[in-house]
Amino acid sequence: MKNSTKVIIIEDDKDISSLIAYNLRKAGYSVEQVFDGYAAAKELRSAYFNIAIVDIMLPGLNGFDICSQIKNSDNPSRGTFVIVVSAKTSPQDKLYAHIMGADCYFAKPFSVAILLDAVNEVRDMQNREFIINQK
Amino acid sequence: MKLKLILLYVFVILISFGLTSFFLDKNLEENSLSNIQSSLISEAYLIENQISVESLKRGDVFSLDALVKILSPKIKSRITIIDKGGKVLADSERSPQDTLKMENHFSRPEINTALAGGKIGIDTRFSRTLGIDMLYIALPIKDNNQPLGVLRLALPLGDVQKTLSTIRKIVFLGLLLALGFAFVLGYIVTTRITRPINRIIQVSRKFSEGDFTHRIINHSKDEIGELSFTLNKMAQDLEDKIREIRQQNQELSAIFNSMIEGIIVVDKTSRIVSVNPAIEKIFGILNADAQGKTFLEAVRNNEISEIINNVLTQGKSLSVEVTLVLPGHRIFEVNAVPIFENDSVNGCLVVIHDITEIRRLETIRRDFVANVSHELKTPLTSIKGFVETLLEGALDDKENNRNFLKIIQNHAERLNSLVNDLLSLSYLESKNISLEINDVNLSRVADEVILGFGSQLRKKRIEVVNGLAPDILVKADEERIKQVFTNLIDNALKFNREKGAIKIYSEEFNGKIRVIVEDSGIGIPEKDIPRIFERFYRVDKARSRELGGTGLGLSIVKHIVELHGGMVGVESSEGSGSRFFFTLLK
Ligand SMILES: Nc1ncnc2c1ncn2[C@@H]1O[C@H](COP(=O)(O)OP(=O)(O)OP(=O)(O)O)[C@@H](O)[C@H]1O
Ligand SMILES: [Mg+2]
Repeated sequence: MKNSTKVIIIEDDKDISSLIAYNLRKAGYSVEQVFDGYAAAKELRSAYFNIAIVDIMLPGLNGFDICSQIKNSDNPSRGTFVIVVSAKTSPQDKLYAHIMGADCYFAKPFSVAILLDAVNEVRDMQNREFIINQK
Repeated sequence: MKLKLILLYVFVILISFGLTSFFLDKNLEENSLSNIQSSLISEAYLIENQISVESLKRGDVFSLDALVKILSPKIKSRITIIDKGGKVLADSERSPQDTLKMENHFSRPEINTALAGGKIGIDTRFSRTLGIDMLYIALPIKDNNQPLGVLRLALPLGDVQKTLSTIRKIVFLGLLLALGFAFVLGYIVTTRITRPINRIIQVSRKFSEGDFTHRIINHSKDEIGELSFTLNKMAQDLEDKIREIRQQNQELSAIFNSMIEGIIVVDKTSRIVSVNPAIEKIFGILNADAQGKTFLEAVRNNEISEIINNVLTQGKSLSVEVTLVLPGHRIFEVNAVPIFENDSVNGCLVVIHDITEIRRLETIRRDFVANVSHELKTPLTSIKGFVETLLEGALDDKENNRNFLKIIQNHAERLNSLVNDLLSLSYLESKNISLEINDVNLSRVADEVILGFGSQLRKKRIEVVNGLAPDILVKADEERIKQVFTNLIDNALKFNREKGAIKIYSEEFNGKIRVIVEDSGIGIPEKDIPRIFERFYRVDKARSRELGGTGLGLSIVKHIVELHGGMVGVESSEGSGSRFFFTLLK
């Protein structure tokens, strides 16, 4: 059950990154993994992703910078749905992430099943919009 | 005062004496005169008996003359006999021839009284004949109630006056004496009264000048004694009060001067009354220069000036956090309180508290908590996620299941070591830590630690050289020193290259032992060196974490060494290795 939805995982912890990647791939997504802010920025400029899963505390550019880059630039990733996954759990951090462009926020440690549900829902929503746009 | 009192004395004496002597004199004069009169009258009666009516009737001048001449010296008075017509028949002071030539005496008052009224005539008069005051007594001589003539006795009053003037002299002398006495007595009495009063005046003048060391010595039971007592008590009370106030002032100014908080007192026009040394230091101004200037002139800080103005106009206290950029970045808590006098704002007291350090510590603490929670949540995320993944079916994924379990095991271990490091840190930071100081053989401890790293060293083919002399002893807690070596060698190993080298050696330095752990690894960028000993600080987080590090190792090393009274440091150049060192006491 392959689907065409592309997900980029921007997370410096390799184990967490592969945890998410493994589960998404098993669910049929095509997954790209990057491990620091600069690599993410570069990747986002060169390709379009439906969904970005972003950690906040990253080497190089941090997650907030990535969010604002995704939402404000005119690069191909502008329509990307941003899911933040972070160990930062204070209300200020959440608010700041939303202001910077995050669409939803997962606090670590998160449940893989729920994250997967969220990703699926986003995919369905985007597919519906795509169909409406086609018509 | 004194003079007044004496004069009063003299005046009283003078009045009483004057009155007494006046009445005395009058009385005496009258008394002596009437005495003389009555004795003269009785003498006159005696003489009258010896005058024969016959010779008077006849006008026998010679026999009468003889009679008066005999009697006159006996009674020491002048005797004159006059007939009923006023003609002088005999006079003791005149010869019979002269007598006849004397003028008629009928008109003389005393004679007239005697002849016309038939009564005794009395008169005091200046006698032209004799040239002195005379007392005259005229006794009518009668025969069967028919006036025949007059017997007149005259006594010079000179004696009486002499007596009187003697008495007056005595009285006057007495008066003078009394006055002199009164003067002396008055002087003594007034001095006795005024001396203590003068003393009181003197001492109370001293009181008014603020000198309370003197006391009025007067133990008498009168008003002055009481006044002295009251004044003394007042002085004592004042002295006590003043001492108390002075002491309070000293305490206050000691507090004012030694307080860490800066204090500014301004009046209601915002002019500086006083600032304390803390303010001098904070703003780099001098109290002497600042006094009298407005706050803005002296300090040039708009924000605080505004606060002061607000307090002065609104009369309500304010507490504001102010960040100062010059002379250095500092954070202050500014508390401004209005000073009231009679319900109106008369000034403002500003207390400035430097909370830079508090804020810094708060930030460190907050960062620490954030770091800890992050470091705990990261491995937890992996553990939780992979367990969930395995349960959801990955257990049957032969390709990955073992790998996932390995990851779970890794992170569990990482959590464990993190918790251990945190416990270590909190123990080292607690105040009641006690070190078990013994003579520790450094070389032996290093060998033991190196042995523990055996397999890892072999894996990376790293050679360790323990160059510590086998006889070096330091005063230290062996377990803690082991921890130091473990962390340093762990780092030297982790951040080393394949086939690298680690050298451990020591040197004497200022009477201390300096231990060096040198590696041939990746080195540390210069900008990171100052922060390398901070908790959770890692040059490359990803790499460090991959190697299982949390960034607490070096901060534990620093703590332990500093507890031993030593210091840590590092020299490094990126790419060619690092040289960590720490000092210990021999
Ligand atoms: N010998 C070394 N060579 C190069 N870098 C080093 C060396 N020792 C320490 N560092 C740097 O200093 C950082 C802090 O070291 P520290 O020992 O405190 O933490 P860690 O080793 O990452 O984790 P932990 O010691 O808690 O397991 C390291 O992450 C590393 O970047
Ligand atoms: Mg370490």
